[in-house]
Amino acid sequence: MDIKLSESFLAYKDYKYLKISAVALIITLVAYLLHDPGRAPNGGTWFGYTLGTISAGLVLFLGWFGIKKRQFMSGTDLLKGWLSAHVYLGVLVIFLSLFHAGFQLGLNLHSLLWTLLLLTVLSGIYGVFCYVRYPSILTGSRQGLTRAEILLELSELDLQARDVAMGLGDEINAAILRAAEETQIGGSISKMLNVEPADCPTMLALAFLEGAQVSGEEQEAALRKLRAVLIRKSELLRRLRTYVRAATLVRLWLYFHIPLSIGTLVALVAHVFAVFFYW
Amino acid sequence: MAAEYRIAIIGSGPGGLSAAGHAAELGVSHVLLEKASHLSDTLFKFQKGKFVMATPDVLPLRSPMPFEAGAREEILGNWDSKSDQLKVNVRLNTEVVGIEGEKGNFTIKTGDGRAVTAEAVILGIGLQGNLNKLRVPGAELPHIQYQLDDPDEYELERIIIIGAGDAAIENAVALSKQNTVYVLNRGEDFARAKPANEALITSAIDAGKIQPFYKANTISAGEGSLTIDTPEGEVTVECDRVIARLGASPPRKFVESCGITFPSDARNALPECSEQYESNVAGIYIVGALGGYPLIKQAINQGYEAVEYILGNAVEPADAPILKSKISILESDDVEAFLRKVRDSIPIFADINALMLREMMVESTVHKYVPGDIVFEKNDYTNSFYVVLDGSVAVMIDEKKPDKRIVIGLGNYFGEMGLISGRRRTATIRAESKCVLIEIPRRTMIKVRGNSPEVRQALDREAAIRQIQTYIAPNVPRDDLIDIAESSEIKSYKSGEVLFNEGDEADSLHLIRKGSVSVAKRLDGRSVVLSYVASGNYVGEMGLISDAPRSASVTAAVASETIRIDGSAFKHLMASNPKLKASVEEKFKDRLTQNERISQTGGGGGILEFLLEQGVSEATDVLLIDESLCVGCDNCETACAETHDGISRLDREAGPTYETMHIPTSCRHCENPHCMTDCPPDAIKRSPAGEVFIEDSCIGCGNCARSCPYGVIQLASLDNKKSGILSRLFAKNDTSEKSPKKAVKCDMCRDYEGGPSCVRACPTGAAVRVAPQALIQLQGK
Ligand SMILES: Cc1cc2nc3c(=O)[nH]c(=O)nc-3n(C[C@H](O)[C@H](O)[C@H](O)COP(=O)(O)OP(=O)(O)OC[C@H]3O[C@@H](n4cnc5c(N)ncnc54)[C@H](O)[C@@H]3O)c2cc1C
Ligand code: HEM
Ligand code: SF4
Ligand code: SF4
Repeated sequence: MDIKLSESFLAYKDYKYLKISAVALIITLVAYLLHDPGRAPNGGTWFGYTLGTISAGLVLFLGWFGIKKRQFMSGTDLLKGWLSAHVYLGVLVIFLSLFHAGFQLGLNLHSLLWTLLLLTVLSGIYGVFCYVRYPSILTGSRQGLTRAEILLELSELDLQARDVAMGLGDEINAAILRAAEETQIGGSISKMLNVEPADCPTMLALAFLEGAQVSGEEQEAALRKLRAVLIRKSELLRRLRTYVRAATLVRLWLYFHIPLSIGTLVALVAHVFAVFFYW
Repeated sequence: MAAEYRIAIIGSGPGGLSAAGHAAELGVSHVLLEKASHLSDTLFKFQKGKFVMATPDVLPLRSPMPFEAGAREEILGNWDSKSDQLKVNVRLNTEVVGIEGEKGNFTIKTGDGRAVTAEAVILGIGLQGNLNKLRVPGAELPHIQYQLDDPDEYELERIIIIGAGDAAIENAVALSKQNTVYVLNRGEDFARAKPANEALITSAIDAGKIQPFYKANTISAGEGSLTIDTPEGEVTVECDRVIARLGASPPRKFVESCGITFPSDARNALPECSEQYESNVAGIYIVGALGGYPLIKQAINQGYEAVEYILGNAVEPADAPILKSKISILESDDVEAFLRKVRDSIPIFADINALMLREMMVESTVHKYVPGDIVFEKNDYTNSFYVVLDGSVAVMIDEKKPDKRIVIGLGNYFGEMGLISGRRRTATIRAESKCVLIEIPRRTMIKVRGNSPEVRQALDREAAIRQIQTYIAPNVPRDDLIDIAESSEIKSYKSGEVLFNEGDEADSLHLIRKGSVSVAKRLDGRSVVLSYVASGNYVGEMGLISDAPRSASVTAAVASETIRIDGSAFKHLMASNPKLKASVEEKFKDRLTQNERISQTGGGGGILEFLLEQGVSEATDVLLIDESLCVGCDNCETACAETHDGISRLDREAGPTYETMHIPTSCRHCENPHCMTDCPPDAIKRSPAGEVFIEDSCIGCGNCARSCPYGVIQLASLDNKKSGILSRLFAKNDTSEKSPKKAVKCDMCRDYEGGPSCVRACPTGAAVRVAPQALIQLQGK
């Protein structure tokens, strides 16, 4: 916006949570370097415990976001504030957990937890990348039209194309009919992500028209008109597919982030159990 | 010759039918004349299955005609059988075209060239008016119609729609789904329609779905065709159907032709009536919607009472219990004495007609306060007007200095500024002594003002003095402002109308008292908007101070009113008030710098123009979405639905966009809400915090949805009420008992402490709600 009215979750309250996370990170780093456990640093020292507890608390807090997001009835705070905290504290937690473990990673349950945590955090960071990148594509691709309006115009163009094709040969008519009836937007994930699918009946029909032979001036004119209609249609299709692709991508990562975060929470419980059980 | 009937009743709506039923029941000779082929045409035309509501609940029903909330079919059925049972003497298909004569002997002329005579007449013709018809050769052919009930009934036809208003557009667009549609427009655009409809038809035309004829007129109709005159010459279009949507002519003309007078030219003016519903023509009584009673139950009661009055019986009006409950706070139940007191002690109401005074009191509230009580606070939104019936109140000029206050005493009033502008209260009011106040809702007061030129004049004159003092000359004593207020003039402007042009002679100052204006200047051949000025501010001082022609053009951004103050009188006032002069010069300097800055940067781009064009300047709070942040998760809509009976009141994707600023379809809580003007049960209210909301008393008539230019009101049945998961699982899925449709729209989550849930639930920060004034002013910085 020209006039800055809105403030992104990243910039919430002048980057309050970024600042908090950065300060926390520096303090922990300094403490970690100053702290001398007398043996190789690990989770078992009082320092390790403290960091472990904080990290576990943070992970629970991060998971709580999923519930917070669905509490519409209560609260006076903005969800974007919560997301801001989620994002910056989420990145912090991966560092804290490393300090907590004293960088000791092996092939065991504890490292499984850490791997899950890392993957969750990475997927989250990728999510933030998506949230920054795709909004402008979502808007730009529609160029002021709503999805419904684009769909409406597409069906309008189909009618036009079939009208014009009337006077042309059967093969052309068949291609146009297929373009009208079989052109798909979206469908499977891979289709949703593909902006210019090679097997799109509209594209095929357009290619077919390039080589089509017709006789007489009238038919030539009709063919030219038909081409124009299909070019317009394919352009609209491309726009709509760009939109669908962006709309898919901006959400797709959550299908990794959410299961991973649930996995992390489960592994966290196991980790805590294991530590107290074997100790 | 003696008249044929004791009473002739015209129109068989709830009012007329009830009168006829009561006359029949009493055995009084009567005739009921109805122009349609069935009783009660207005209800007959409601949507099939519409649930009709019986508001106001507190009003008792007195009539032989039964009436309870229920389906349209049921109500009409009951009325039909009851009128048969009572042997009501009804003549259908009989349109009345004129009434002549006098009390005791009226001649009522009907459309078929005949006449009936009666001693008294009850006029209950409602407000629907007559649909305008085509006046060309062939207009009587069967393929020409003036209404469209169900667009889905028609398929694969060629249909010509005549007209360019909302009804014509809605019909054309709906029909174009399954038919070939032509639209015949006398003008060259559809600017007369609501912006949403204009956009709809323009895009349908662009998409080739509707074929328009512009600057076209009908010449004649033939079997299956219509001949029209277009700029390209005469054409004859083959068609299966012609639907002419030429609007309706309000019944006022007909009523006036019967000798009945209206107090003013205002659109909402009502014929003058006595407390017994008798018009200025003795012997003609007016009941129902035509008399200003917009609800069915009221009309039914009036029909009954009018018959009693004609027979010379005194009946206590049905609203007496309501009025009694209103004055119970004063420990009295003498309604007549109370009304007399209002009239005697409040000068502005001295001359208003008795019926109107009564109706006004039915809608008002009587309050008692003790010294120190706050009546309302500064910056509250206005929704009412107050008169002092006893004691006095104080206007607190400065909350911190309690002795800086103006006392308003018996018979005086306050709250008139907000009444005009629709803006926040300009000062806090406290009770000065023990006092009794009457609070009159904004809508009622606007109606009273529209119907009584005396009230209007008195209010305007006093308001002008107070407004000039508040907004221009706070340091000038009131007495010094009387002359200038007297010489000023109230001007009204339509949206887009020019107050003055760049280069005009600067002869006056405009204080904007309602609406807002935009200021634009020509730069390199194009017009650049320099600023937007809201009500409570003035424009035109620049030319006066610099003694130069107007340096910019000023145009009304929305329908506006100004107080035009004569230039030389104002200069004179400045000359004798150095403080005033200084403050006006200060403003002048500020504006000069701002204008210069904007001119040099070539204007703030199109965004200000975009906002003004979208009517944002009449909003008090508008939802915006920053599309550079929005990820389309629709959590905003989900949150809205979750907090409002499962129905989202915002449509995120719809609505205009400029660059990345998107205005979704959602209520803007307008300064002067269009939706409020025509609500029969007065169910649309504004809270002190500013939210415009719809109360439960909504009858679902759809007037508000039609009046809102921004298309934000939907009619929905609220039976998706959130219930527990268990009850939802086990509840039978019965759709048979749908709750009635009511109007729903955004209420800014006024029931939730955290404010608008759409904004609260947006994870990215894309959704914001802003006061456009802040928005538009930011632009100048
Ligand atoms: C869509 C809609 C929904 C509504 N819902 C409700 C609701 O739920 N509850 C409620 O209380 N109110 C509702 N109302 C308001 C209600 O319809 C009116 O208050 C009521 O109909 C007014 O009654 P009336 O007797 O004054 O006139 P009308 O009902 O308008 O009747 C006038 C009659 O006079 C006839 N007539 C007109 N001119 C002539 C003539 N020259 N000669 C002979 N006959 C003539 C007409 O054909 C008509 O039958 C609604 C209104 C609308 C438009
Ligand atoms: C242990 C670490 C984390 C856990 C347990 C976690 C958990 C969650 C959960 C439960 C949600 C809610 C999803 C939904 O219901 O829609 C969520 C959303 C999200 N998370 Fe995480 N998360 C973690 C780390 C991170 C990190 C490090 C980032 C970014 C740097 C991040 C970014 C996001 C984003 C952008 C969303 C989407 C918000 C929305 O659209 O509502 N997360 N996370
Ligand atoms: S419903 Fe429409 S007219 Fe009424 S306040 Fe909202 S935007 Fe304005
Ligand atoms: S909640 Fe915010 S991000 Fe989600 S759709 Fe609404 S405005 Fe866009």
